[in-house]
Amino acid sequence: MRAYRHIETFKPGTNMKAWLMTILRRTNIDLHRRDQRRIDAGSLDAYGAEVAALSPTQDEQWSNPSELLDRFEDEAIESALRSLAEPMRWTLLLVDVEQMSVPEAAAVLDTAEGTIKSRASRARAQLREALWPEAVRRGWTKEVGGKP
Amino acid sequence: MNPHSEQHEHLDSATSQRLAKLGQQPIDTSALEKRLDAAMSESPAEPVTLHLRRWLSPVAGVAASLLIVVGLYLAISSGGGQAQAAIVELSQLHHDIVAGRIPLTPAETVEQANTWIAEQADSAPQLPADLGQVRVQSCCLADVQGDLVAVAVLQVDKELITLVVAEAPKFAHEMGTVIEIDGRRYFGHELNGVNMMMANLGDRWLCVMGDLGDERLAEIAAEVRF
Repeated sequence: MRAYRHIETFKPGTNMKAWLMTILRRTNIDLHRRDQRRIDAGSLDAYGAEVAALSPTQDEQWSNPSELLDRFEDEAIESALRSLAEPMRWTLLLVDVEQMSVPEAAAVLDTAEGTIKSRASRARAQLREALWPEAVRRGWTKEVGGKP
Repeated sequence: MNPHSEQHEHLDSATSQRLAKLGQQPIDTSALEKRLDAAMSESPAEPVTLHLRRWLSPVAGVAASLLIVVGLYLAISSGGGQAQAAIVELSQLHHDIVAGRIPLTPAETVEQANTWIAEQADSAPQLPADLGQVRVQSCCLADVQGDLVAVAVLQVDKELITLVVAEAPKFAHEMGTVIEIDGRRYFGHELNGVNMMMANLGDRWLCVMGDLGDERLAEIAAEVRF
């Protein structure tokens, strides 16, 4: 485990979970491009803004979101998460799944707290957008206006 | 607050709560904790071990719980960590070739390389019959995650490029930057300082890697014909 190799970097008294998640995230970051030719967080945020701009219309179709979302099995939720771009996925994993605070997630992802907040909101909107066709397909809700 | 914002916050909250349930699945981590504990006990320097163990025990608990997240993340990110592990090995393979740690067989043509590969192992995948304008320099076979892969070393733009042909589905890793050429999609990664472009060619997986940029690597891969 990479955490063992970097164990000397942990400072007792500091946030152990954030420390481990930072190592995990840095390990994972090796798997992805960091130069400008690759998809970067900026472009993803721009894409997310477009999604967010669409969301009020989409939102009206989620009349009972908790009940609807609970009908999806975990695998379906994970599959929808998988469809999100990397920074979006990481944000939801840390903030919602792992229940990290915004400052902790910001530290792990090395980004501003405001970015985490806005990205989380946009990522959730994208997640719902990914789930919507499946909800329609399963007959749990009716498609309105041809597109969620 | 306008009704749209209210509805959006309501939706956000519901989505967040549903996601939180993913992290609340009861998972037996006792075996994992034992393994972590055993791994920690393997430290050769006893004083250091004793010193670390004062606080490594709670670390083990947290690490075990976080490994659930790691596992979940790997499942979410790629459909399994196997593909990522294979890619890590591929990137190391390129490093080993460039560093001269792997014996290579000189080959002036792909035919020569494929003949040598077939002589070594019938089950080994064959290199592409046509590499376009690129000439093969040498070849070898490698074991990556238990599967034989065929390797050709090319010299392109004064850089050593490693071309790998694999047949196992574990190499399928349709993530990363996507470059599309002639309707075929190439998936780019940077790992361990190596640029990698991969493509699914029917039942084969092609990986072209080296120090060249994504676009150039994709161009090289696009010229490949089996």
